[in-house]
Amino acid sequence: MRSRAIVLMSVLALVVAACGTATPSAPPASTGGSTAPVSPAPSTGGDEPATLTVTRLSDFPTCFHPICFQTGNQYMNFQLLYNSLVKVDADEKTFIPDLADAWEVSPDATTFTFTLNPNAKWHDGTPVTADDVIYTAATAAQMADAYVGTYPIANWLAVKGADAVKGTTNIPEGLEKVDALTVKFTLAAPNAVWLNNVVDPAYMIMPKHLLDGQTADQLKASNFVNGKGTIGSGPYKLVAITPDQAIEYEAHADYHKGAPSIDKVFFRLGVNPDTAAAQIQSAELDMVFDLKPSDFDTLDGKEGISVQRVPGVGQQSLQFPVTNPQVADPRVRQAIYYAFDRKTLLETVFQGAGKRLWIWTSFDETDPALDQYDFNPDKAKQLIDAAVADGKFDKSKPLRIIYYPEEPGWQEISAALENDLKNIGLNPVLEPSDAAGWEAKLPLVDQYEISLQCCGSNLYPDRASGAFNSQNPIATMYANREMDNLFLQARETGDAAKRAEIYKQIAKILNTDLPYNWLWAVANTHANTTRLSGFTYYPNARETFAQIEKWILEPAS
Amino acid sequence: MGTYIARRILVSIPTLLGITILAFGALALAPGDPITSRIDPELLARISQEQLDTLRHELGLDQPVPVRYVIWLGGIIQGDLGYSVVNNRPVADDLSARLGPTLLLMGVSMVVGIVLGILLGVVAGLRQYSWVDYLTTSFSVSFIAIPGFVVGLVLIYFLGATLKVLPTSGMMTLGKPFSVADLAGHMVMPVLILALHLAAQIARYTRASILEVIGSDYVTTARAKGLQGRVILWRHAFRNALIPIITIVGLTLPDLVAGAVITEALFGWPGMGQLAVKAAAGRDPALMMGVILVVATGVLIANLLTDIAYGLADPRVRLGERT
Repeated sequence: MRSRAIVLMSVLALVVAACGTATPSAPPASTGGSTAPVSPAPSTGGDEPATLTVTRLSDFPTCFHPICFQTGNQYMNFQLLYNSLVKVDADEKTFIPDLADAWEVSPDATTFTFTLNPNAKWHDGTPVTADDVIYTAATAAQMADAYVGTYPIANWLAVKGADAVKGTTNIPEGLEKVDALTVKFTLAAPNAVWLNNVVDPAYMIMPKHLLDGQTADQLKASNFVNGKGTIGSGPYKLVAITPDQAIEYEAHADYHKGAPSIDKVFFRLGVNPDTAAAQIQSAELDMVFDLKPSDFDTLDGKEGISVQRVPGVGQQSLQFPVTNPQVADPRVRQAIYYAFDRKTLLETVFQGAGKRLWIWTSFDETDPALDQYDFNPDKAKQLIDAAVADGKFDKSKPLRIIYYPEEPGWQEISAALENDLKNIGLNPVLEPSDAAGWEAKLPLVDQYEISLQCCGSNLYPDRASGAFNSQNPIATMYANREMDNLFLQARETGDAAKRAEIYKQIAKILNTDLPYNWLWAVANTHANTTRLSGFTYYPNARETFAQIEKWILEPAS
Repeated sequence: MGTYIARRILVSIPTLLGITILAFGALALAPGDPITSRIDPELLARISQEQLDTLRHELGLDQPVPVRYVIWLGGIIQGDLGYSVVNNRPVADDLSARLGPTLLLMGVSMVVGIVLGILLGVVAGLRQYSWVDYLTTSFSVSFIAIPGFVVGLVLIYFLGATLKVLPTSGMMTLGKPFSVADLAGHMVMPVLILALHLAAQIARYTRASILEVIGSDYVTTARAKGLQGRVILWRHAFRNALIPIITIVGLTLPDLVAGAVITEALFGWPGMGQLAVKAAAGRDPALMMGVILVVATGVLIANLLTDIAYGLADPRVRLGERT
């Protein structure tokens, strides 16, 4: 009897000890310690460093170099580690300094001159100079093939002479070191939106003194790229990576835009989306990007937590393979748009977590010339009847809709779409599969009529030129020479107002031809501890770390 | 016994080979590949077929499946498990980093599950139709029927989000030095999920086995000889009841591995389970095959240990000897 009691007490003691001692990873109190002249007031309140634990619910391939840039989580980590020449403010439009303090664009949008911040330093103390910028752009052009399939480095390849240096160690003709802190890019062709692209993490500046002379293969296999001994110039230094657990950073005290107030950042990896809301409640996480939409209700009103729905740049849409005869006629695509009651679906099922669209995000949707395709089943029927009468649509054939139910929202969208299309006498057939099956089917344009699409971002109108062009028609296979010319014309137009007029023409074409039915811009759900301040969620959430040196984390009470 | 073990190991080799062939074939048949899964669909849409072909060639995905299998097997024989395209590093590095956490989680869960299951089963068997028996049966049925992830979510909600007494994710508190107490705290919930499911199954079989044994003639004889109840139970009855329990423990190991995949993913435990999920989601053939190889080897070893345990538990079992 006595021994039983001892065993029971031991087990109880073990459980109590575990519960009592293993407190969740609540960030400890912060110290002062910021020495930067322009940094915000540092957090105070204890001897332990101010530590921010943050996650974005997505994957992170262990690679810290644009050569293998693939995902949004890399984007966020690159923002902690590195700098690009310029960044954008939270409106996603206004350029703000990053490595460059000043920049100048020629009226013909052909030359771009950047003056670097003289205080910028790599994490090992070496100054950042024009040589680093030239090294980054030149090696990208030299190793262009090694970047294929990860992220297009169109900006570096747009530099005059970039094509000629591929496979060599030469510097493109259009790259010029004006002085130790000034670099001039001359493009092969005018491109007014070149500066917009520079913001992307594919164009983060790399340290020449550490990487010069390495081939693409050596670079990809190097410790630097794989997170051991990685040196950047950004607000945080990489300390350690624990696979599937976290990436640890510490503040870069000599950061040229002011030492960050938060001493340490843990970027958590492998967080299960189903438990992320619980983790912010238990204070294991201080900030979570891209929570499940339903977590908004779970967290809304919880003490010490701020949860927000931020309209993003990603969008839900229906994609049509326009070379498929069933959806080749624009009237059919217009009819589907009119038939689909998006407003009700968005307001009821998705609780208004989005902004209805009728053109790709970033185009001026307020233009009255654009049809907003409000729900109108009668008009949809008329358009279908007209297409049938002209032999452009066969009502007896199915409209196959491909999607994968795991993508948030698609289950609901597909069901509503099926219902609305049936209501106008069409024959929709849902064909769900897993994500890989859906992706594998996308190029097989004769095997489906509608594909659900999600989340592609279009930060500025020129991005659309990549998806629609006659030379290399992809995705929807939609091509329009008139539109190609308009895009080229816009790139050659330095005057922003004139450029906007050209984009209006493009928007009208897209709004009429409808290679996509853009449903709505998705609102992303983010949450943070209310101890965190001094920041704004960017619509493109991945850019939110852009000014992290200004963030303030109050100590835990 | 030595001959038996050697023979079993030799038989395991073609079994393992068969498992790898099946797994490799199944992975090749699955839609999608590492290219389509790791590149953003928007970017993928902008890549030409030629560029895709180049990438597939670089990864060797343009080779016929049998050729790819032979190349993979050749690498395995030379100790090269391949390269993970998802994690950008050798598969062996990934596996070695994850094996320890998984063994720890599964090992502790097994010990807790077996001890708890046997104890509950024995008590329920000895006190048939008592409240203890009904309680144990209810416990067993509940934890067999309710999926582990549901129990996990409930625990996370109450112990993590509401009461805030236990961490809900990972293996250690970030930014804190390693301590056994911290590790134990992180293990409590995932171990509970796995152990309770295992204990539930073992308890049911132990109860049935004990009931059968205590009704045997030799137990009645032992009682008639005046032996103490404790001696009868542990020296005679329990030892004989152990054989079916060992079988169940052996059979539930693959179940435990499957449970670990879900549990690790739920609790962000950095083990093989989470790696398997990542490999499957990323359609990473080398990484997936590495995980399968390790898990299959583990299951085969467990089966072998089960058979050896028969001999230890029951001297009547003469493994490998003809009678």
